Amino acid sequence: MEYHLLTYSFLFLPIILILYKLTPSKFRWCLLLVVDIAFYLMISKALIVFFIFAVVITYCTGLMIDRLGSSNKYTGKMLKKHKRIILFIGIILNLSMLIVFKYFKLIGISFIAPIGISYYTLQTISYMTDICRRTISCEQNIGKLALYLSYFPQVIEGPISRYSNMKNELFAGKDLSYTNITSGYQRILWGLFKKMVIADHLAPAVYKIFLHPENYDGTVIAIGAIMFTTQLYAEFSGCMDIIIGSSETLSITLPENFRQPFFAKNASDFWHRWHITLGTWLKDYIFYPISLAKPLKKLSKKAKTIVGINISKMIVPTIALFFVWLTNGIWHGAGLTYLFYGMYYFVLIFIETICEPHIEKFCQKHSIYESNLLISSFRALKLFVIVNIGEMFFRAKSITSGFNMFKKIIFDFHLSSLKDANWGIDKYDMIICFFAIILLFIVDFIHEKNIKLRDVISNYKLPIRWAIWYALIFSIILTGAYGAGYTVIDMIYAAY
Amino acid sequence: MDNTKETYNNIIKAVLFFTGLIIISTLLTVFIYKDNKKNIYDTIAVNNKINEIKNEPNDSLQVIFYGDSECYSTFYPKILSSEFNISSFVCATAAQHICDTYAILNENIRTQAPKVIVLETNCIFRKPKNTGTDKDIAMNFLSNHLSMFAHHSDWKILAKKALPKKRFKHKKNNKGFVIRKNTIPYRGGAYMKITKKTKKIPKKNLEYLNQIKSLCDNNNIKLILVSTPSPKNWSYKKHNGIYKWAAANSVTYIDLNLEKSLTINWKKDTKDGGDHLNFSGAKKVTRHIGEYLKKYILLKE
Amino acid sequence: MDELIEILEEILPCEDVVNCTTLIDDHILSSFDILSLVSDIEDSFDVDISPAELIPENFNSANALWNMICRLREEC
Repeated sequence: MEYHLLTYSFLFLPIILILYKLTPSKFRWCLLLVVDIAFYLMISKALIVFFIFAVVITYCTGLMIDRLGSSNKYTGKMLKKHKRIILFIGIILNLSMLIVFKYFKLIGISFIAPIGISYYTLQTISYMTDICRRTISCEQNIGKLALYLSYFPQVIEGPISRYSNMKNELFAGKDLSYTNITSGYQRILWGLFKKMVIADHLAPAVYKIFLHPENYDGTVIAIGAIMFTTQLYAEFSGCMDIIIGSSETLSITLPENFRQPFFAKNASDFWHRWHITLGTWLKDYIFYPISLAKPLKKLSKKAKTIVGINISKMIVPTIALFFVWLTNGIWHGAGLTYLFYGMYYFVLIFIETICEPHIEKFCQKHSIYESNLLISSFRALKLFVIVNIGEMFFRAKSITSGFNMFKKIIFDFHLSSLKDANWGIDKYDMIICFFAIILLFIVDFIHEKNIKLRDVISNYKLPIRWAIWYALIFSIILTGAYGAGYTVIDMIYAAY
Repeated sequence: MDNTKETYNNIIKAVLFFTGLIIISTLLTVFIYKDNKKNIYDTIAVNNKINEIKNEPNDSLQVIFYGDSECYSTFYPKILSSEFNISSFVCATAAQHICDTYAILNENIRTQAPKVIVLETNCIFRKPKNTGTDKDIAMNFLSNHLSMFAHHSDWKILAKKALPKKRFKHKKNNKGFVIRKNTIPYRGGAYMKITKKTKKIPKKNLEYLNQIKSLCDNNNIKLILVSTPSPKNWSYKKHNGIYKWAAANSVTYIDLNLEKSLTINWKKDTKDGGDHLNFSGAKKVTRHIGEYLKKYILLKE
Repeated sequence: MDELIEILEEILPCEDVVNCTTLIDDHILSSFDILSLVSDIEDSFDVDISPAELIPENFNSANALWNMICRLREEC
């Protein structure tokens, strides 16, 4: 059962809430675990075996590293070394499952993957590494560990959470509260709106254009690329709203995955706002370990004597950055398009880190300020173009197809072709979609100003407050892309 | 004490909120969604087709085609009129449900007196009316019980009426046919393996099929069932299912998947790897069926 | 401590590094900044900073950084 189905929010979740309320606080985590297992079985059936494997491996690795620390067998460097060996084995075991299911396609063997394997594997790695780093203590109860890895709202497509952030609320069995339930459901509604009114309306046009880009000219392809980016954002962030909102009803806070990405300053800032939990995961478990590795430090010191501090300072982070983006790319899948996507951002962010200080100096010298409307709109436009090109390659059938599309946008651009373009969306849906996107922009703008919209609305008088939620509910029912004439669109990020 | 009071307050608020929700839904249903005939699946598509036929001169069509996308990518009325002197129209809609076929046909015979109705058989096996999706139980329930959900897009019909009418532009009128020039070859090889197994026509669809048949009989229209070539959609099991019904009701059934004289080149004639025909495939099939229709219509005259 | 402030000021010339307690939380220190900060600290204080130390609590303020340095020195 996927999150965007009404069954999830309006049948499954209410049942869970009632059961949760009826269960004594001490056993609530057990209830959640049972629900998780049922949820997992519903989707992946027998493939749950692999998930159980992962839990057992992670549990044992954690325990062994912990035991090693408390026994006096080794001390100092030897202890560190042994811990690292165990950690390494644990990671390899978990990773090998991910590799088999995700990348064996390359050699022509493909399997149906257990649901959420890309997400929970990252969580197992962070859990084991954190124990090794002694930032968390190991979980003694295998059931609780399984609950952390399989927590039903997040198991299909994240957010990728950390054990240290989850353990308190997840196992506490806090009482349900009226405010959390209402505010959780408000968020679910907003997520459904984004998914059903924006993303699913755009889906058929995007599908058509990316399937046969050769049939369209540059103008249509450019709009198709923008449509895909919008679809992806509305859909992924919408599902996140449903996920985080449904967890909120249980009084359990999940980490945020989006922070108004299109208001970012530059590409690297964009990635601090888009799929945040993947970004921070890569930072903590790829970027830092690589850049603090001994050989690289030595390399940097050597380089300092040869090329000077300004350049040597860049070498280590750049190497680490390369691996971050390589991982980001191939994490999405085995395709070359994903690899290209990762490398695209690597190059962009590399250029940014080199140029940005100079641009800043230049701006200061000529007293141009960030708040300047012209500058900030230029910056937003630049980022918008960068992101759309990136997502176009990400979605393209192949790299060649991506490049052909890119070529067409530049050399084959005729505004006149818009007149008889067939988008596969009727004009009413287009109008609805247009206004919904504007609404999304306004809401994001308000959030960017650090105003919590749901809190603001809850302070309004009851009739106004309710009118807003009624309007949202009926706009989803009446204008959502479901039922006759539409097809149900699966969640995009559940496939990664 | 305060705590319980708050709980009561919250419960009352929640109840009121849902009451409001129900009241608004009822109002919407009464004022907007009341005249929905329950047995139409895709009101918008059905409405469009009914209007298209109304725009044709009265009693001008000899043949009308019904079915899903298989149908509108196969039968090309222009060839039928230029080469066979048969006037025809394609009333197929995307993923047509047979209840919609019946609804469109029912309206069409008010203004037209066709001699032949061609029903493409693929839609006969499309699952009976179910506006939600199989996956989403809650959505299914709501769609099957509340017309506000099932016909939620009908505001578009109202909007169309309310908006000032644009002057009718003379677009290329292909009489319901959709030209599709892409080619993705089908490489699956032979697909009509002979078997004795039968795929049953779903019960509800059978009812509609019988209703269509009696509607045709009452109006002196000949009903012809045609299966268009499609390795992805057609099989011998389905053939048997249709054949049995056609034989029992003495209806003509032509399965073009078994027609040897029809030379479909699966490398060139399909738009999407054996699902739909493309333009070159459509021309072949239209000419083939044209011969047949011509003979029949001449005979009748 | 003064040496640490100097390092910080060099990396973040326009910020009030002495009093700020949200260097990480408010995204003032970027991950690149953190790396150059780490390598500077390692050089001037002769300590080893492992990835495990790279948590917001250790980097949010000059004081927190100083505490970490002292702790690492003792461990050596």
